[in-house]
Amino acid sequence: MSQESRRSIRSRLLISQVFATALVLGLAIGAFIMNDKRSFRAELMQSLDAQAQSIGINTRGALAFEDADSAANTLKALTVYPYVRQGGLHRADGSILATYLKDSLQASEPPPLKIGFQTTGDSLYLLRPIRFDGERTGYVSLHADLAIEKARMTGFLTVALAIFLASILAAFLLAFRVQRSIMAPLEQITRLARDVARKGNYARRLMVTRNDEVGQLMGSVNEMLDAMQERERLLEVRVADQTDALIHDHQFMHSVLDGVGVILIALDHGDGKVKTVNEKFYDYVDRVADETDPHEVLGALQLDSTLIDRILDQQVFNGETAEVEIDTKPYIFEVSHYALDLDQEYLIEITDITDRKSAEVALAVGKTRVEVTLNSLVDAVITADQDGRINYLNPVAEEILGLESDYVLGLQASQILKTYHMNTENELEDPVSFFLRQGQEHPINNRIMYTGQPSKRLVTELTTAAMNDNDGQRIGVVLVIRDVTEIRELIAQISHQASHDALTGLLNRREFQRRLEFALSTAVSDESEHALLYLDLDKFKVVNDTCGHAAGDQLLCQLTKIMKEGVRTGDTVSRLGGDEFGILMLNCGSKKAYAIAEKLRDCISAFRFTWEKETFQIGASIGLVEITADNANRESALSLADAACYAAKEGGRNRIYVYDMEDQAFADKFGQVVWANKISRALEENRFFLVAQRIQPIDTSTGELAHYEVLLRMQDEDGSTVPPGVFLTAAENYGLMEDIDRWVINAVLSWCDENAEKLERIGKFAINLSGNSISDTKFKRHLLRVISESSVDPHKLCFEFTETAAISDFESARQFIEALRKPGCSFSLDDFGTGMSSFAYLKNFPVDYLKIDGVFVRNIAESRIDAAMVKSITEVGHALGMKTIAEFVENEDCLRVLEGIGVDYGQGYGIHKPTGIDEIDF
Amino acid sequence: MQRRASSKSTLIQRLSGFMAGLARPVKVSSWILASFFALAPVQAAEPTAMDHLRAAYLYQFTKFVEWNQESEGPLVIALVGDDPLRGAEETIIGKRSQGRVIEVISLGINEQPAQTCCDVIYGRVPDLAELRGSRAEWFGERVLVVSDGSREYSPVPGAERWRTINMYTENNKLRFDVDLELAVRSGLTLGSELLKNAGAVFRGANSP
Repeated sequence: MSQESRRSIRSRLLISQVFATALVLGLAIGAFIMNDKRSFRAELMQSLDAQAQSIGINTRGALAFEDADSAANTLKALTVYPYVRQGGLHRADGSILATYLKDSLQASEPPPLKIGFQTTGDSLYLLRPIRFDGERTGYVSLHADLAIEKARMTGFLTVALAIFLASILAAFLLAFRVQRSIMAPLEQITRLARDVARKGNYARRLMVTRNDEVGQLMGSVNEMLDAMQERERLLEVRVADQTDALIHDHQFMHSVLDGVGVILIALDHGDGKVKTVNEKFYDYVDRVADETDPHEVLGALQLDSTLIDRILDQQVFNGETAEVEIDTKPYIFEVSHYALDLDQEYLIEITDITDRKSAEVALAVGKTRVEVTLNSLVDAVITADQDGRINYLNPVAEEILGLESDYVLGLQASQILKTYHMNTENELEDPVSFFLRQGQEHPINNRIMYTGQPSKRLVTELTTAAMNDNDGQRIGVVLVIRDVTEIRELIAQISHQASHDALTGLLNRREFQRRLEFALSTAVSDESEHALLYLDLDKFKVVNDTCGHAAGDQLLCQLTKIMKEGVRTGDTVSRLGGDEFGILMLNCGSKKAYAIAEKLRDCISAFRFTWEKETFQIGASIGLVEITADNANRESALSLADAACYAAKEGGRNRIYVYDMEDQAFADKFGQVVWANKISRALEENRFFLVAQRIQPIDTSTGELAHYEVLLRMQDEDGSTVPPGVFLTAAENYGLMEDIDRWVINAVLSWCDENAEKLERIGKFAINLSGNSISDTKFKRHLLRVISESSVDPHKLCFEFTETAAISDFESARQFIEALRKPGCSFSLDDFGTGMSSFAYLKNFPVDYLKIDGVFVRNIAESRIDAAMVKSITEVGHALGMKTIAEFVENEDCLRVLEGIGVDYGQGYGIHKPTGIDEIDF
Repeated sequence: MQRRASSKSTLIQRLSGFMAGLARPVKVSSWILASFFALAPVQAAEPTAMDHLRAAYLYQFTKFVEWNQESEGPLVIALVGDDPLRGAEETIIGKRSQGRVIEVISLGINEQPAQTCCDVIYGRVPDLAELRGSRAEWFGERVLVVSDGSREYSPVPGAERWRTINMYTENNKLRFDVDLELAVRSGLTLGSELLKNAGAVFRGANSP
C-alpha cells in the first residue's frame, strides 16, 4: 500500500486545502506587488514628465534672455517633490543655465544626455527638450531617487507576508473544522455497516441531524437498511405463501380447469379412466351416469363412436373437427389431446368452434362479395400489408400493371408500381411505400404510368388510404388507380377549343386577353417591358367579297403561318376576330418589337394570295403599344393597340403606328375609338336606357297634352350613367348612329306597346334622329316597317333632327319627311337658329315644329335681343304653319316672356328634368 | 529705406545705399559702387558681444509679442540711425519668429516711411527721438518700439512715453524695462515670459 493510500482522507484534504490557499494567496500578493510597482513607476515617470514640461514652459523666457536667476527660481519649485534629487535647465547647446540640488545632497554625475527616461541603479533620469516657436530652445533634466520606490516595496512585502501567514493559519483551522464535521458521520456509518455485516442487525439506524450531503448519505444508509429489513420480511412471507400454495395445489388445478373456455377431460393413461372433467363439460351435458367411463363421457357429447375410439387411442389429429347435435342444437367441436405428467395422464381438449365457424362462413361470404365488387370496379385496386408487400389486386390493376396476380402477390409495391411526374416524367416514390412511411397520401396524385406491350402511356389519379382492423390499428394500405387518360385528353381538347380559334388554331381573344393580363401584371410586379401588336389586314374584305368566305378562310390560314414564322419563339399570336390579330411579345423592348412589326408587315406585303387564277396582294396595318408599369391596364393596353392600329390605317395603310402618349391627335382619336368600342358593347349588352323630358304647352288653357322628348343614356361597364354628349360624337364618327337610332326606335315602340294606357296621356313622343339615318333609305324603310308593325298610333310620334343634318342631304331629308308624314308622324327641326339658319329652307321643309335653340331662350328675361330673335322665329314659324318650342326654359320669368311672345311650348329644367321613362307619372 | 538681407553682398548693398544717400544728385549705378566696395578694403566697425546680445534680444522680443493681426509675410525690423547694431543683425536675418521670416531694414531718420513698413523699430534713443519728431502720428501703431539707451530712458510716470521696451546695460549685463500700458495702447500683447524677465514693468500712470 503506498504512502498516499495509507494517509487518511482527513490529512489529505487538509494538506490540499492549505496548499491551495497558499498558492492562491501567493499568486495574488505577487501579482498585486508587481502591478503596484509597475503603476508606481508609471506614475513617477508621468509626474516627472509633467514637471519637466511645466519647467520647460516656465523657463522659455529665462532661456531666451539668459536669465539664470529666473531659471533657478523656477527650478526651486522642485523642492515640493521629495523624490527629485537634482534638476537642471540646459541651453540649446547643452550647457547648463541653472541647476537645482535637493537639500545638502552632492550633485551626482548625470548619465550622458539622451532624450527620454534612463534608469541607473537607484536613479531615474529624464531629459526633456524645450520647444518654443518651432525651435528647440533648451532642455530640462531631472534626476529622481528610486530609493523611495524600494522602501515602498519593502513595506508592502512585510504587510503581504503577515497577511499570507494569517490566511494560511485561518485556512488550516477552517479546513480542520469542516473536515472533522464531515469525517465524524462517515466513521459512524462505517461502524454501523460493520455491525450489520457481522451481527445481521438490521434494526439499528443512524441519528440524522443535518441536511447537507452527509446528512443525505446517512438518510440513504437508513433507507437502505429499511429496504433490506422489508425485503427480509417479504422473503419470510413468501416462503409461508408457497407452503400454502402447495397445500392447495389440487383445488387450484381444478379451479384453473374450470375457468377455461373449453371442455377438458383428463384420463389416466394406466387404467384409461376419466380422472376429472371440468365445469365447461356441464354446459353441454346435464349429467353422466359414470363420470369415470371415457366412452360415456365422450358419448354424452354425441361424438361419433369411431371418433371416440380414435380419441382414446390418441389417433386423432389435433384440431380435427366433429359436427354434433346435442338436444337438437348443432355444434362443431374441435378435438385435441395432450400428454400430461410424464405420460401418466393425458388431456382431451374439446373446443366449441360453432360460433367461429359461423363467423368464418360469414367472412368468406363477405370476402367473396368484396372480391366480386372489387373485380367489377373500373378502377384498379391494390392492397398491401404493413410491410408494403402486395396482398391483393383486382383484374383492372392486373391490366394496368400488365402483370398477373400470381406474379405480383408478395412482391414489394415499390418493385411493381412505377409512376412518373405528369410534367417532368421523373420517377416518383410509389404511393404505397410513401403512405406506409409518412402515414398520409403523397402530395402528387396525378401521375403517368406505362403499361402493356407496346408500352402505353396512361394518365392516372391515385388514391391511397389506410386499412384498419376493428381496433383501429392499421393493417395495410389500399391504393386505387383511376385511368383518366381519356378524360384528360377530352379536357385538353375542350380546353384547347375554348382557348383557340377554330379556323387558324391560334389563341382566341379570350385566351389572348388572359395572357395579356399576365403580361400586365408582370409589368407591374417585375417592371418588365413587353410589347403588344394589333394587326389589321388591309384588303381582306376584297378577297372575302370577291372570292367568298372559303377564300377568306384560306387566306387567314396562310397568313397565320406567315405571322407565326415572323415572330420570336414564345411570342403569342392570336386571332382577335375577323381579320384582326394580336401579338404579345414578352420581355421585348419597343425597338425590337418595332423590328418584328416591320418584318411582319413586309412579309405580309410580299405575300401573294392566289385563288382560282386571281392573285391578291394583302397589306397589314399594325399598332404597337409598349406594355410597362405605366400603362398596365388590360382594357387600355388592347384599346391603345387597337387605336394605334386605327391610326396606322388612317395614316395610309400598310403602316406601323407606335403609340405615343404625347400625340394629342392620336389621343383624340383614341378616345373616340374607345368610345366606339364601348358603344358597340353597350348595344350588344343592351346597356342603353331611355329618359324623357316634358315639352309643356305654354298656354295651358287649351288643354293640350304635353309632349315628351325621348333622350338616350348609356350605362357604362362600371354601372355609371354616361350622358349622350360623351359618346354621340364617337358614334357619329364611327357610323354607329344608325344602330343607336334603331335601338331608340325599337325601345320607344316597345314601351308604347307595353304602356298603351300611359300613352293616352301623352301628346307626342319626340325622338331624335341623326343625319345619317334620315338620309338612309334602308333606315327609312325599316322605320316605316316597324311603325306599321307596331300598335302605336304614328300621330304620337314626332322625329327631331338638326338643321345641319337636314341640310347636308336636303333632298333625302325631304323624302324621308314626306314618307313618314304619310302614316301621320310629325317632325321637329332641332336647335333652330344656330346652324345655317336660313328661313328660306323652312319654306321647302315640311316640318311641324321649330325648336328654338336654348342660347336665345336662357337669358330671354334679361336680353331684349334674345327676345327679339325668339319673337322673329316664332312669327316666321307661325306664318309657315309651324309651332315653336323654346328649349332651356329654366325659370318662371323666362316662361312669362315666352308666353308674351306667343311661343307654343317650353322645355327645360325649369319645367321638368329628364327622368327615367318608367319613373314618370304621365 | 533699404531692405536688408544676409551675407556679405547685403552689407555691400547697405554701404552703397549709404553712399547713394550722400551723393544723391549724382546718379551712379549701384552695381558700380558695389563693385568698387567689393574690390576696395573697408574699415567697418565690428559688432561687439553686447551688439550680438542686443540682436538676439531683439529677435527674442518678437517671439513673446502677439501682434494681434493676421500676417504671413516677413516680420520686418527697422533699424533707425547709423548702423545701431554694427552688423550684429546679420545673425537674426532669415530666422523665423512665429512662423514669419525676419527681415531687417534700415530707416534713415529723415525718411518718410509708410505706416506699415515694419513691425519693430529699433534704435538708439536720440535717433528714435528724432524720427518720432517727424513721424509721431504713426509711432506705436502695432509697432514694437525698442530703444537702446541707459535705464533713465525707461518709462517713468510723467515722462514722455513712446518706447515700449528700453534696453540698457547694468553691471555689464543687458537688461530691459517694459511699458505695458503703451504696448496695450499700441494694440500689442506682451507675453508673461517677457514681463517676468524684464527689469521693471511700467503698468500705468499710477504704477511705479
